[in-house]
Formats: sequence, C-alpha cells, structure tokens
Amino acid sequence: MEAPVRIEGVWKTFGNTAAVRGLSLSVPPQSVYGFLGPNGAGKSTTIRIMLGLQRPDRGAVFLFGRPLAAERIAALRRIGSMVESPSLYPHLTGRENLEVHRRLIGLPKAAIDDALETVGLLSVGGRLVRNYSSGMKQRLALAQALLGTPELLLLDEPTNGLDPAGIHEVRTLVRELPKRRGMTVFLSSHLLAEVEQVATHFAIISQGQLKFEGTPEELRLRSQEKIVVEVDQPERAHALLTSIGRKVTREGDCLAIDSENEFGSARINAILVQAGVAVSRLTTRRLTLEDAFLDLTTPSQ
Amino acid sequence: MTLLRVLFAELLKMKRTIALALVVIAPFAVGTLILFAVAQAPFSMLRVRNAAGSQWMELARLNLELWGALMLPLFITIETALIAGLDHSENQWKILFARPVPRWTFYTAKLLMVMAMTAAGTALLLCGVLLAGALLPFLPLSVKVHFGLPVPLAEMLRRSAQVSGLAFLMLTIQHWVSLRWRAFSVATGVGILATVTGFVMLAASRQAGGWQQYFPWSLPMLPAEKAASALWIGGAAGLAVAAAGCWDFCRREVK
Repeated sequence: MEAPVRIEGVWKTFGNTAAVRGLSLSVPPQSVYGFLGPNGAGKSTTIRIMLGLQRPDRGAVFLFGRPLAAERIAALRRIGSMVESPSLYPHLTGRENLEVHRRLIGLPKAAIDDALETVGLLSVGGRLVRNYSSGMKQRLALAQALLGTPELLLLDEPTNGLDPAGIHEVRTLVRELPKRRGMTVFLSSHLLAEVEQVATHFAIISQGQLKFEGTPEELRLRSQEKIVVEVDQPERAHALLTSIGRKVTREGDCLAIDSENEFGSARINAILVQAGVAVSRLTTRRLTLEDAFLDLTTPSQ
Repeated sequence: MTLLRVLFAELLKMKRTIALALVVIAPFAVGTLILFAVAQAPFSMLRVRNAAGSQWMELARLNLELWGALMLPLFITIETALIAGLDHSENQWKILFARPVPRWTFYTAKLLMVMAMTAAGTALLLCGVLLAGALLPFLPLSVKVHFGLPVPLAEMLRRSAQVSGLAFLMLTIQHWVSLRWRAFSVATGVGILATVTGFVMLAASRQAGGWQQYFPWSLPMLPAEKAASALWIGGAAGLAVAAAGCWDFCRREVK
C-alpha cells in the first residue's frame, strides 16, 4: 500500500531563516502519525507545504504516491485538514460554515450531519459560530476537516484551546478514525503527552530537521540511561564532564549525564571526587518518552 | 461547474453581512438625497421641460451622476474590501486553498460577486428613480412637475448599464488591492484617495471627456457620448488587470 505522505529532502527558507532543512519522512497508511517538535520547529510550515499552501525551495512532497506539485487538486480531494487555529465564519451558523465547504467540494448534503454528529455538534449546528465556545469552534474546525470522509487527515495542534474533556474527546476520535473509517491521521503537536496516547508512529523535528522517525517502541529503545549526580559545585562539575566529551544537562543543582556503559557511574564519581567536587547523590535514570523527546529537541548546555 | 460551486459558496458567505445590506443602502441613500434635492428646487434640478419622458431622463441623470461620481466608487471600494475581508479574517485562505478547487475560481467568483452587486445596486437605483418619479407629482412642490408616459425605460437602462460598465476597471483594481493586502485600511484608503483624486481631476479638466477618461475612478462620470469608446478601453484594461490580479493571487503563499 502506497504511503499517504512521503516527503523527500524538503527545504523551506524565509529570508535568512531556514524553517525546514532537508526534511524527509514517510507516513504509513492507516496510522496515527504524531509529528512532534517544540514551537518554531517547522511543523506548521511542513504541513503548509504538504497542503500546497507554501512551495518548498527544494525537495518534493508525494501524496498517495503522486507528486503534489503536479497533481495538487487530485491529492487535495483525498485530504482533510485543520491548520493551527480554527478558520470559521463567525456570522454564519456551524451548519452554514460546513455548507460553505460542502459546496466547494461538491458533497451531498448528508455529509454535513455526518460531520456534525462525529464531533458532537449536531444539536448546536444552527447556532451562530460567534456564540460558540473555543472548544466548540475547535470541534467545528475538526468537522470541516472530516467533511467527505477524507483518506488523510492533517491536524495541526488540534487540541489547542480545549479543556481536558475536549482534549479527551479529540484524542478518542483521532484514535478511532483509522479503525472506523480507514483514515490516516497526521497529528502535529508540541506536546508529547497529547500524542503519545494515540500515535502509532512518531516523527520528531527540531530546528527544521528530522531527529527521529519510528514507532513509540523504537523511541523507547533509543532512550539512553542517564546518570544523575547532585554536587556542591555544579558549574565546575559541568565544565569538567563536558571537557571529557560527556553530554551533560543541568537540572538545578543536579547534572544529568548520558550513560555510556555499565561502569559509567563509578567513573563519573571518581572523576568528580578526584577533582575535589563533593558528590552528595548519584543515581541512574531510565528515560521516559518525554525525556527522549526533550533529549532530541533540546540543544545540550 | 467548479466556478459555479465556488460562486454559491461565496453567496452563502455573504449571509448576514453588511456587504449585502449595502446593495440596498447605497442606492437608497442616493435616491433619497436626490429626491430631497428635487423636492427643494424642482425647477433648477430638473430643468423642467414639456417633452414626454424628458423629466424621467433628467431625474435619472441626477441620480446616476451622484451614483457614478461618488457613491459607486465608494460602494465598490467598500464591497471589495468587505468581500475580501471575509476570508482575510481568521486566515480562511489556509482552509480554502487546501480544498480541491483551483485558486483562480476563488478570485473569479469574488470578482463576479462584486460585479453582480454593482449591477444590482445600479438596478435598485433605477427602481428608486421610477419610484421617485411616481412620488414627486404628489408632493407640494413650488413648480409643478409631470413625469409623462411612456417612461423611457430602455434609455434609462442603457445609461445605467453604461455607468456600471464604466466602473469595471476601477472594480478590478480595487478587487486586486483588497485581496492583495490583508488590512481593510489599505483597500479603503486606496479607494477613497482615488475617488477624491477623480473629483479633483474632473474639476481640473473641466471639459467632460478630457483627462478623466484616463483615470479609472472617473470613468463612470463620463457623459453618454464619450461612454461608448471608454467602455471598450476600460473593459479591455479591466480584463488585463483582472488577469494580472488573478495570476498574482494564484501564486501567493499562505502564511
């Protein structure tokens, strides 16, 4: 089965700033693909490029195996999208907002009720959008994206502005879409916690570059053990360990050091003590997915 | 077919907007002003003549002059800005351009909408002229006016269509500006400045059909005898501006 999304070596520059730098990724069919990265990592730019809203400087995007640049309209027929904040007409009702898009796509009228029901807005579809809460707007934007049951759903930060109940609803919906409707969901977020519960695959980007692509299990396997030491002179200890080539992260009075082998703790303790740095605590810590995410996206100090 | 779908979507977006209300408000304002002015000074305003139908044409001329010189440029300025503003607000483009619809259809549908609204506004103005003509004989005026039959409807329609048609070039420019710049103030600023400039040019040239026939915002003020050639020139230039604007719109990136 052809990958719904394949990106090959995409670059995008705004002025002197490269937002996306040689990004390549492949989204498996019927997966929930978590696209993670801190704010400003290039996630939204990548999604805009995938939708043809922006042109890449270099590289190519293939949707359902076809080049986007040459077959944009055909590809967009199979895609629903929600990019950043909801774009709605506040002077129209929820139903009328969907009707605008139904007319554009040329769908049967029943598609509106179907989409409203899916996001739980059927009973308030006749209300003006200006009177909707931010959570309702977010769900209506999701209904816009779901109109016509697309094969690929691109969601950029879909839980922004939602309360915990709303986040739970969106999460449940996203999890069920591949099973119930055979969709592939491309879910962009800067919050790992939001994505890790639903994603079957991950891509992590930072500063426009792909740092990781694979399953959550692969990400966990990749996670290194860390040695955490509490010392009386953290600055000196940091300089000392960095000078011998260790990757060190400052965590208050503690330092987190990448563990390289089973003798790591003893050796680090010896180095610090010999240099006159008092070690009051030394533990090892297995990285969680969040640590792995931070590790991949935070430049070392 | 796709263009038709986009056009119907545009139509729905207009629901409950001031843009739709302006189609009625603008001609009503002109009609009321002229009716008030004529009721105050019917002799000087209507240049009372006995020939059947002449007073109808006088009343139509007064309305169309005010419409073409002032209200129509402002109407087009505001309508184009409001229609573009519907999709500039909340950056609707990022959703619209992600639909399987060619971009040119959005540009063209919006252009057709403004053209239709301009035509509708002018048509309503004409209805106002007929209504005023029916009403004026019953008002207590200092001079007795008589709007005889038959009503020269064909001639009134032809002149109204001319005024609307002469606004095409200005309309395409305003449409481009409104879609090119997100800020409402840019489009309205350009339109108001150009309308005022048109007035100044008219005053400076003095001779009807002089300078102003080269200035898009002054074209609707051209007298009937100069209108035919200006319609061709303005129409061709308008099409060129529309094509250039559409090209610019289609290649734009959505931030």
